Amino acid sequence: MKGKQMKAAIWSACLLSALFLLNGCTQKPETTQHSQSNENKITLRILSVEQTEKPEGPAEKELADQYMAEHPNIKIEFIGVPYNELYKKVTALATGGDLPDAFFNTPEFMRIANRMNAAADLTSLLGKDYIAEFYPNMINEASVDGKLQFLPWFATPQALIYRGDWFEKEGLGAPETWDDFLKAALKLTKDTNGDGTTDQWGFGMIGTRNSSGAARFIPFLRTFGVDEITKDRNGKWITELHTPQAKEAFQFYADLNNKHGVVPPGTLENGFPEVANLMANNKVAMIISGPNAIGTITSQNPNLKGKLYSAPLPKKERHSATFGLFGYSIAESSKHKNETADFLKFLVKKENSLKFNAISGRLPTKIEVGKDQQLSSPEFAGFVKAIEYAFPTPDFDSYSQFNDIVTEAYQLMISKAATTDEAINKAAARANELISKQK
Amino acid sequence: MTTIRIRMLLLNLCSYIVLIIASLFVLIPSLWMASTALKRSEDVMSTPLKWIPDTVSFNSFIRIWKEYPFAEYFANSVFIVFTATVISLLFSALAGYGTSRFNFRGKGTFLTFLLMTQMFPSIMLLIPFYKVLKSFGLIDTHLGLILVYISFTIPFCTWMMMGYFQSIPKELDKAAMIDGCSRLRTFVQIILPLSLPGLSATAIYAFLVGWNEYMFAFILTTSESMKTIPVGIAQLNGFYKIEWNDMMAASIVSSLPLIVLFLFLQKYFISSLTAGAVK
Amino acid sequence: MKELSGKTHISGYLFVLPSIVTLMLLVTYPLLYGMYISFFNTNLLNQWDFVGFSHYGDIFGNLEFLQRIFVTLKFTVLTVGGHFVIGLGLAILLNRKLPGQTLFRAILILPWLLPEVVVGLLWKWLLNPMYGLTNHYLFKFNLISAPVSWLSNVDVAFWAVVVVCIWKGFPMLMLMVLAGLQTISEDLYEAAKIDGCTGVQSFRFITLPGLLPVLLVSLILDTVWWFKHFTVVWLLTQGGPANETNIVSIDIYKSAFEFFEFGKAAAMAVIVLFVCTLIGYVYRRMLNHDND
Repeated sequence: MKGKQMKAAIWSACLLSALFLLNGCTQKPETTQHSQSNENKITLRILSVEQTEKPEGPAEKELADQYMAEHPNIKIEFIGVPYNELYKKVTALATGGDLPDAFFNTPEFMRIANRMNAAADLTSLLGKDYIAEFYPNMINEASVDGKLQFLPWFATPQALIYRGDWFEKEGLGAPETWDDFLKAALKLTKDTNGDGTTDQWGFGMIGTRNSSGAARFIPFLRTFGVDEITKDRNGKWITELHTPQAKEAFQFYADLNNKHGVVPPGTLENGFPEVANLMANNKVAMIISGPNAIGTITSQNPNLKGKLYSAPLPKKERHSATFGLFGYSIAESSKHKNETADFLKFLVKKENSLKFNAISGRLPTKIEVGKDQQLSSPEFAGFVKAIEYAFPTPDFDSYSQFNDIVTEAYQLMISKAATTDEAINKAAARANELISKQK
Repeated sequence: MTTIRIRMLLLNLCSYIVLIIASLFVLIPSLWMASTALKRSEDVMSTPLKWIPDTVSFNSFIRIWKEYPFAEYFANSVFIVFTATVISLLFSALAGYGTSRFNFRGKGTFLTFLLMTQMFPSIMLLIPFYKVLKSFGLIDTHLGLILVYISFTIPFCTWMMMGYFQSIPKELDKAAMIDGCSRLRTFVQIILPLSLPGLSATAIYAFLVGWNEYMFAFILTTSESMKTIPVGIAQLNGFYKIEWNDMMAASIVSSLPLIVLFLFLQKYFISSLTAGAVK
Repeated sequence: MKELSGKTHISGYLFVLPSIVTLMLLVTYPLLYGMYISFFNTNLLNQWDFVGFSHYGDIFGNLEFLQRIFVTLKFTVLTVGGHFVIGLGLAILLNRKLPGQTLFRAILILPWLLPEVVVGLLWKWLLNPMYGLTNHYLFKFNLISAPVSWLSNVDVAFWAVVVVCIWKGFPMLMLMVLAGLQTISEDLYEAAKIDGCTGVQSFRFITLPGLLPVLLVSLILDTVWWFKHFTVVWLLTQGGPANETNIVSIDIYKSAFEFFEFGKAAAMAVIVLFVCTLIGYVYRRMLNHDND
């Protein structure tokens, strides 16, 4: 008797869960039916990191709305993904064979995506003639083995952003060398209200241990003539992280904080949002960043409009920059490759590219757009120039690990957890280990 | 007699002091959240710090409903998490009772298995979970997330319920069964009411896990209409800019249901149940 | 109990059946899959190079990983210890049924209710050297003369992270213990009083044994959860400054989704699984004699 009752109860619980499962199975066809009902309309699904940012997200949406108005048979649906989670999401979708029509891509990730056969070859899809309208070095930066992985939409080269008004007041020009830079930084580090504590700093260093910190440090390192990884004459990968020049570069970077004190407190925890905020609040004179920072800073403090100037990174041996290139890949699995391509072409059209530049500060990728007046203001001039010095992302499989290698090294030094030699030896050892594993 | 009373008073006083210090430790950060939520975007990062901004603004609270589809996120979260909690509680109460009252072969293995599921870093489970749900056709559905949350919470809930059941004397079961109650009736009518505090604590746990879970909800849903609150909140933590005031407003709004749930369930904590009443 | 056990073990199975079915359907495959990929060099899609135990060899061949395990253990012991001292203490105080206890309960539960992302970011903000509330008050009361970089300074960063994690996690323990205390029958205390037990004695002989099952589970799971905890630490320090707060889960995360070495990440995850299992076993041995 009692056994029976209990069994009944448990079976009903199981039934309940089975019902739920069944319910799930019936849900699926329902949704496909829904999309079939308006089959004359093509839905393009686009995985975008811009959607979670402001003002970029609304700007992108506006462009999409405009496109949809011009093409009534197309419906564009964005899947907003925070940039920090992009690779995770794309990997999961790719392993499930569920990639949307287009997804955001970067030179850092494109080799991994390429090996998953995630992205369609845009060189054949768009045609050589169309691709020739873009800066060739950017096309190169977005290609693997001669196949264009994503259509470059905008570039965010790293350059020096500085307070033009403060520099003029102190009689300083744009720093050309790191000595100039240090001089300016020392001059602009001061106690402005006379209470005995420093409240303005020369350089807002981004010292976090992540890609954001590395995106500043690696071009800096390159200005000292050091390649974190490069090919020697025999075509073998080598690292220069253990060279005396590298040591000098690391030492200079750490000294800015430890010896010269031109960096505001919280060096190793200050990421881009924190440092941009410090600049907006008149706390720092210089930062290394992409052109989008100008928009971020002036939106927090509109008084700074026209006061932020840009210049290529100062040099020791040479100038340097990264492209900071971003764009959309079309998924190999997409059923609407041509329609998606048409929308991507729309995004980079001259008027749209300039519009997006005005809103977000990102630099255009097409040659005819790059010549526009809008880009020669003191805000952008330095960035446009910096692009000339940009180096391509090394075609090394596990290149993204170098972000961690160099940021670990400078954190060890700045926090004084290790000596300079220990820190760079460790970095070089990690680099060599990666090289030895490369096939 | 008076010395006892003084000692009691002193003890109470000490208790209050400790409780107040602990509350301050909790309240100050929480109130700072509220303060941030009431600031205008341009005031969020201004110095000197102000608890009450010069311009108190409710824009963040308005924005999260207007500019972001938080209402939809909210509805998704409520439906998914509520269902998952109820099912999880039901299954784990049964399992907890079963393991606390019966000896059967494989019981130890079952309990160890439950623990093991909690020991593998969940980041490595993301992609396999995606594959499992895909094979059931449950990606981007409410049911998919419900099942995931059930599977997350059952292990801890079962162990907890087993613990609470164990502290209830087994003589009660025997007495009830001698009175002619079936196993299930004994469980439902006698043991369950006695473990209400444990049940409600476990319910809060299960609800919370689902309510605040971010990573799996983010990976296992794709369409805007399926997102849950934590996914919405994480979007405000941008790569270039953190929308502090909006994020704090969203967090406050999202924790309100939890506070209500807690206040509702907490009456079961107070009703101390005496075994004598059932004997 | 014995007379119940023999004939009714079928009933036992039926009671646990729904849970087993659910977990078997959902969790077993992901767990095994996670272990499986630790033997491969893989991008999880079209590249599957079997490498045997070489990931494990690499991991143990490198002193760094053992250091990470050590940092993680230290972090876990301090965090879980904090949860227990604070959670247990507050639960006992809250159980004294003082006037106003509902209010205290509602306040003290707050950190648990907030999403981890928010807790991480909120505290990063509170600990900000220039705009943070912490330094603001320390200045105000003249406790410091220069801003402290809580999360950049090797001497304090680890402790700052531990404090935040204690803040986030103690309410759960408090609540579980509180519920456990309520489940203990008051008759027992009455009886003890009649027998002339002091408060300490009745705590030792009634409260603790009554709480033991709940405490043991909380202890095991709290340890396991914080051993593999990721979000709050990641948001606060990303493992820095230097490697001061670099816990295992950060390594796993980076290996998997920054370096795309899924095999290696999975191998580390398997090691975590073993360490956690070991911890769980030791706990159960130490605290529980008659279970299973």
